[in-house]
Order: sequence, then structure tokens, then C-alpha cells
Amino acid sequence: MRDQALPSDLLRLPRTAGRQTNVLAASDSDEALAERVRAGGDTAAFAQLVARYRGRLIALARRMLARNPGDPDEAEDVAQEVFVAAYDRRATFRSGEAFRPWLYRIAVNRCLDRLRARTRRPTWEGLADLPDPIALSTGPLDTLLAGEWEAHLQAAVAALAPKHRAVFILRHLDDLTYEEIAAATNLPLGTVKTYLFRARAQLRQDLTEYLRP
Amino acid sequence: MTCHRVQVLIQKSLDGTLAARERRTLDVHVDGCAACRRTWDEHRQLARRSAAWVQAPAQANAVDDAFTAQVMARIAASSPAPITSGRRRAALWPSAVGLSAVLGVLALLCYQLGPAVFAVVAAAPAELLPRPQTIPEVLGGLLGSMEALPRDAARVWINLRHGLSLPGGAGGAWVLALLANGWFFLRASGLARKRVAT
Repeated sequence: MRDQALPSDLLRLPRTAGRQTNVLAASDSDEALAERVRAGGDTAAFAQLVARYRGRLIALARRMLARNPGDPDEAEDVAQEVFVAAYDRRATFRSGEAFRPWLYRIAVNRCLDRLRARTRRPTWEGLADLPDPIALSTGPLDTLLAGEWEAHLQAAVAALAPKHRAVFILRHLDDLTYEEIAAATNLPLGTVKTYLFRARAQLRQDLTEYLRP
Repeated sequence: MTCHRVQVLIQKSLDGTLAARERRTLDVHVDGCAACRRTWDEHRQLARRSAAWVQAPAQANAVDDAFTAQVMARIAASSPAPITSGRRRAALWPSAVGLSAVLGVLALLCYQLGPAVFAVVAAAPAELLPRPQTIPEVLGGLLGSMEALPRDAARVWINLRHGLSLPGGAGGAWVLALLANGWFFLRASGLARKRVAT
């Protein structure tokens, strides 16, 4: 039974398994398209999957890799690399396997590779380097405050350990279940729950002054 | 209901897995505990705002045909061979030569040594070796039976080297068979596999 305390305006992306998307009208489920790609390298089917998941992969990469506003955006490059890698590895998609965790596993691994390649580690102390939102903004106060909140949230998420960050982002990106997150991150189910708990606790601690009514 | 236990219920409420009874328990506790009520409110606010923040780029990039075209162009330009289980397809002939060499050596060993080994084992083994009564005695027996291994390994090595001095082209064929054997085992074990980035 779902908890009704969560606000109804919580954004939800359309689930695509077995349903039509609001991007491309198609009757095939993700798994059916992936099976066609796996069996015969069907590029038309793969293009449909790209169209369905490009937004989510860009969002995943951006939230995994960005540290501060103004940092170069490598999310689109990473998302393209993930799709190319997914097509190359199409033979590893097993019949009957769920498509979303399989794709997100490739994406998470690619993002983690990028993070490991970086020389400078993001830290919470980087908050001092954030640009002054007052100096940057010319909009109304609520826009200014929203931008300040996003900057602090981005910095706080960037301060999470990479795998904690991946679990947290996957949970909020596509409403993945614990089992799907475990498959996408190659972590045990209990570890996923622990990482999510720790990520939430750390973010709440870092952002508590922005969460008070 | 302790505040520690309520933290678990709060996590379940964030994940939408709270049962009705647990929800009533949580409501009763937070009505009387200001600290837990603030914790719950902050977590719900964080969850709502985090979800919106995480999903915002997905909404903004949901429709971008140019992106799809770029991806498909990169796929068309890349190698068409699919990666199977993280390994590239290997040429068959080194594996076939190596497998043939291994099977040939095994067949020769069985032909030469099989009857002798069978005759020894078929004899009353209890008369050849005393039956051990404890695990240390079994281990001692195993170690004792391995005493000849260094000498036997040296004999094997000497005979391998003898193959190199065979007349005519037989020495060269011997070397090729050894190399094919080694390559076959390396490929089979994955040690010779090129790392494929995921």
C-alpha cells in the first residue's frame, strides 16, 4: 500500500514498459524492442529506445557528473556513449530481462568511470566556490531562491560517495524499485537500502536550513 | 514506539511501502514528538524537491531528434560486430589447433600410461599402502605420493626440450604445437582477452 503523504505534484516520468510514450507512439514494449535489437541488430528499434530514454540518460549523467553551476556539461556526450555502448553490448541483453536496469547499469558504470578519471574530487567544502546567485540572477526572488536551492542541492549530491549518489539519483529519476536499482548498480538489495538511507540522511543534514518551513 | 524505530517507518513512507497499520503508528508518534515530525517533514520535502530536480533535465531533453540522429550515426560508423558477454570473437584457428594438440597429447598419454596405471590401481590398493585412520594420515599419504613430482616435472621438461632438437621439420612442428597449446589455454582462461570498457 503506497503512502498517501507524498504530494500529488511529485513529478513522475511515464513508464514505458508495455505502454505508449508521450514522445513516440509505439506499441512495442522496451523489452520487445531490445529483443529485436539483440536478435538482429534492428537499428530502427534501437532508435526508438534512444528516443524513449535519451532524456533520462541525460538527466542521470548530468546529476551524476555535475558539481557546480557553470561546469562544462558532459551529460549529452556521456549519454551518447552509453547508447553506443548499449548497442555494442546488445548480445548481453538476455531474453526476459528487464530493459531499464540493463541500460541503467551501462550508464551508471560509464558515469562512475568518468568520476574515477577526474583528478579533483567534489567535496562539500566546494560550496564556498559557488557563484553568488544574487550577482548572477536578474529574476524575481523566488527564481533566485530556486536557483540557490538547486546549486546547494547539486553540491550536496556531488559530495555523496559515487555509489550512494547513483542509488539516490536512480531512485528519484525513474521510480525504480530497490530490486531494479540493485540490478542497475550491481549491488546487493540490502546495500541499496543502506546506501539510500545514508544518502538521504546526509543530504538532509547538509540542506537542513533550506528545508525548514 | 521509539524514535529509532520511527526512522525506519519514515524511510518506508518515502518509498511508498508503508502499511496502513505502520502509517497509523507513525502518525501517532509524530503527533507527540516534535523532533521526529520535523525529521519526517524535512525528508518529505527533500524527496519532493529532489525528484523534481533529478527529473528536470529529462523533461527538458525528452524531444531531441538531433541527438538520436547523432547516436545512430555513431553506431553506423562503429564496428558492426556485437560484443558477446564482454569478449570479442576470437579467430577459430588458434583455438582449433590448440585443442587438437591438447587432445593429441592426452590421447598419447592414455595410450602409453593407461594400461600401467590401471594395472596398479586394480591390484589390491590396501596392500600397496596402509589404510590411514585419521585426516593427518591421509594428508601425510598425499604428501608422500607427491615426493616424486619434482623429479617427474624435470623429466617432462627435459622431454619437451628434446622435441626442439627433432630432425627435419618435426622440431618446428613441435614448437608450433606448444605455442598453439599455450595460446589456447590463455584464451580459454581469459588471460589473453582484451579488456572491453562498458
